[in-house]
Amino acid sequence: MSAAPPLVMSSGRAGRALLGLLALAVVVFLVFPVFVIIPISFSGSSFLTFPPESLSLQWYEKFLSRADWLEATWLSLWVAALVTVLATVLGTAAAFGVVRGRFPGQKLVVAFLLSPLIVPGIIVAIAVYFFYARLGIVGSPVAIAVAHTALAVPFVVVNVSAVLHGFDTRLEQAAQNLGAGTWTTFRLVTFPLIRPGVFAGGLFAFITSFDELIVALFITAPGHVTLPARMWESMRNEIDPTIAAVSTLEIVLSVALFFVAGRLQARAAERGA
Amino acid sequence: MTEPTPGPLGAPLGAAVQFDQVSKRYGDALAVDRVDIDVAAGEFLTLLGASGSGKTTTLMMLAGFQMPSSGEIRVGGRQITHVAPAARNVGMVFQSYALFPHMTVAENIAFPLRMRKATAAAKGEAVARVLSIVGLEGLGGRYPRQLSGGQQQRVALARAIVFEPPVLLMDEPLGALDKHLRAHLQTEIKRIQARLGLTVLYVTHDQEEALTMSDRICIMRDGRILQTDSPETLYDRPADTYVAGFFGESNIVAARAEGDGRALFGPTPVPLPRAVRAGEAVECAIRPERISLAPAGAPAFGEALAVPATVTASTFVGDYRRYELALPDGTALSVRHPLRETQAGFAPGEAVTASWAPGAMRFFVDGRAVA
Repeated sequence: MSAAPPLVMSSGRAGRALLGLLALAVVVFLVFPVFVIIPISFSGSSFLTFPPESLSLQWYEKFLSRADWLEATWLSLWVAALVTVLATVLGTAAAFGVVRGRFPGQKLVVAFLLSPLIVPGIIVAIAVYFFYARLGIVGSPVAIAVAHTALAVPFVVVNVSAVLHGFDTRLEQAAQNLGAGTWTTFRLVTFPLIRPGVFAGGLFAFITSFDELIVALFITAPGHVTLPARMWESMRNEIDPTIAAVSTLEIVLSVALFFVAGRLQARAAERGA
Repeated sequence: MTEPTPGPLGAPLGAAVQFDQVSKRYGDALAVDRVDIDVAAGEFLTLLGASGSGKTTTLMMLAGFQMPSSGEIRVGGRQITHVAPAARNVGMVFQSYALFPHMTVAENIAFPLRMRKATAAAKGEAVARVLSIVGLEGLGGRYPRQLSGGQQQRVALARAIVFEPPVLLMDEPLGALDKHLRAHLQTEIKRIQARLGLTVLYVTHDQEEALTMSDRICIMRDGRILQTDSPETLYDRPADTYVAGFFGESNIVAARAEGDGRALFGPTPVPLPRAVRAGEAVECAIRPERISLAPAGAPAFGEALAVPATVTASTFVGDYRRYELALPDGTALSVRHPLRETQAGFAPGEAVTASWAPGAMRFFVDGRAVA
């Protein structure tokens, strides 16, 4: 490999040390909240104090014994799972359309598909609320999933488009030439090769929904809220370390998901070109 | 139903292919213009042309990835013009090989058999057989990216012939390989084609490749076929100056036909074919390797035309020496002079006699050959 021009040129060790320090500062800034949350979740006291004076699992116990927390967790998981399926299927289909298709207004369609990334969440939330209120479906889990799907689709479109752009369509021609019909070609050749992008998109979709607060605040029914909305309530009403325990569990889940995704991607890369 | 016995890959596979007035139109542009091609069963036919000549489009129409705007395509007498690619049963080797990167070599080769619902035993047997035909025994478990370019090319070939298609299409299959490997695989492909009796349609822009591999070559330009003939005929009797320029070099001198049925090639009158009328502009061509050189004043042989000339440059090219000559009137002439031990070369400035048989010359009027 030809060396890229080094960022810090002649100042040598001092410059490199400074760069390292800066990098460390950025990392600390990004990760510090996580390191505060985790110890607090094991706190033995009943207030949000840092560092905790004693250790216990009481807040995990409280989380697992409280029906409202568990219900919110199940609702969030259920909604996120539905969003993952819907957004992955719709987003993948849309990506095929905008990457492979040639039709008038294509750029406009792409912009429209990606618009949830740009439109402020509060505006989407208000719009969805009034729309759902008219239909009388505020609070329905499926309705929440549909609203979240709209927010999650762009992540799938972006990820799948990226792998489709790099996809050699001659592989599909080869499959057809060798006797595979359209669906068989997709199943045996196209999908296995774009799977990393589809899975990455699906993962983003899951996290988008699981993490979504603003829309959820507007369209969940009181008492039947998603986990982020329940955490929001808890912050306003209770302020006890249960929320730290929930946060820690969420962090663990997110890290685990990314780990799984990374493994899948590495395996795909290993088998692929 | 198919016959039970003749061992797979045992009987000759090839079927005849016909293009009947096939055109392909993109908007206003004609990519392929009323093409007629007749390929005999077991024949190796090359479509040769520059990029944009329509050769790849022609191949893609046979594979089914492009639909002809008009005309008919038949394989073994069967109309396939509008048959889906998957149902055409023609093998194809892509320029990029198009091996499935997520499948092993064996899985790649077994793919067409899997599509045809072959049993596991039949698949294993056929894969092993074609692997040995292409000389890749024991590599079935590798992934394509673990193979060299030449090996990938062989896998692509194996995958294209394993289901015993009556026609094999090859789209610049050796384009990505280095010169040495290319020469080797050319021989290899010819050997396999001959052994299996395959009908091959081969697309290339490499004249030498076309000359060495083909039974016949079809020269395409701007979507049209200029000439379809054996390599020898194309080289010796090109239909026009474009085809003549495609293979090898020519010394071409523009002249005007005189009343006596001759034209002046530089200072020398050369006899013209009878079809050239007096006063017509005619291009007289002679290939550099058809010209002999002798020291000035040496006697000419029989009917040979002898032209006095001066050597202006001499280049050693290995198995021959290339001379640039100037005729007395300044006309430049290139000569390819084979090297023999007993013959000393000529030095620039030396006076020589260039001679050639009148029959070696070709004449073109308005770019078309006249005989």
